[in-house]
Amino acid sequence: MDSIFRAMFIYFFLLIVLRIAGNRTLNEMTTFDFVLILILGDSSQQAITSNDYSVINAVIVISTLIFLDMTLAFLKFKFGFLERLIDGSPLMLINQGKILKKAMAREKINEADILESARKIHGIEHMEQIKYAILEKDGEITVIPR
Amino acid sequence: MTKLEIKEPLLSENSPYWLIQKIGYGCLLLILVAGFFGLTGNGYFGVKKVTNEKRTLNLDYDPIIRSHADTYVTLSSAPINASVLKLSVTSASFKNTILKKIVPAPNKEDKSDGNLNFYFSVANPSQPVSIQLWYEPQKAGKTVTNMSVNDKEALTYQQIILP
Repeated sequence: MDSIFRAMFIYFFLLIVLRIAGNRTLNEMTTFDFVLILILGDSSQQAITSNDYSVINAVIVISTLIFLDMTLAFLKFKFGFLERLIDGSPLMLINQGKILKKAMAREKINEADILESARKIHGIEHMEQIKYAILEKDGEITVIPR
Repeated sequence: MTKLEIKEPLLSENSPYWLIQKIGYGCLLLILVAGFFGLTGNGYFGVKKVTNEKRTLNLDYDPIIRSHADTYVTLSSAPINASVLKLSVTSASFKNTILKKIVPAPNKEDKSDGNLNFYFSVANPSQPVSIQLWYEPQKAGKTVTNMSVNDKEALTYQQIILP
């Protein structure tokens, strides 16, 4: 029973911490983020399994995490506010070619980040060529050219 | 219904998968409920108590335990009216087990007649004694353990070790 509560606690704790970190953390993988993810994974594993290395414990922990994930997915589908709370909402960064500086500052995104996404997907070279840029829930920046 | 929607029959190649998903969801829930109620070991509701006929010995233990996970049993004895307490346990039960610690620590230990014997000095013989045995099973299976105090009072308990 311990493992169930530990897995639940770590799941919700990581959910909250990553939500606080912002959408961009999920997508942007710098060397620092990579190290952070490794440490997060290792610490979570120790916290969840403790000294219990049995197969049955692994089964229980995996079942708990998948069950929570499926339940949350269902609840998010049923209740829109829960989806906005957990996953956030898409955020407009460029609207009709106009840069929304405040929104970008909130998400710690600069023009170089938007241009990088635009370059990768559309081969765009200049900000003037962008009509819309949207920060999606998964941290990806969608760019719609003029 | 908005103008973008149509009334579509829910027949799809995915239907069997959706059914399996629903059954799987139910199975996951069952595993969690089983874990919660101690059916997979280490559950708070799974702890059992055995007492000998004279009610001088009590043992709290988990009837279902897990291999490669720490577990413990707590033995409580009525006042023994002796300065030394000898606790004997079936050594066969601890064959595939790492005995981690005993609280309080015994003064001496030896083996005899297929038993592991631990000797404790008792500061106050008129007081009840409580001893905790911590161990980690290394193999799945079933064990039947006999426990006795000063070769008199004895009780038997059985544990199932899950993988």
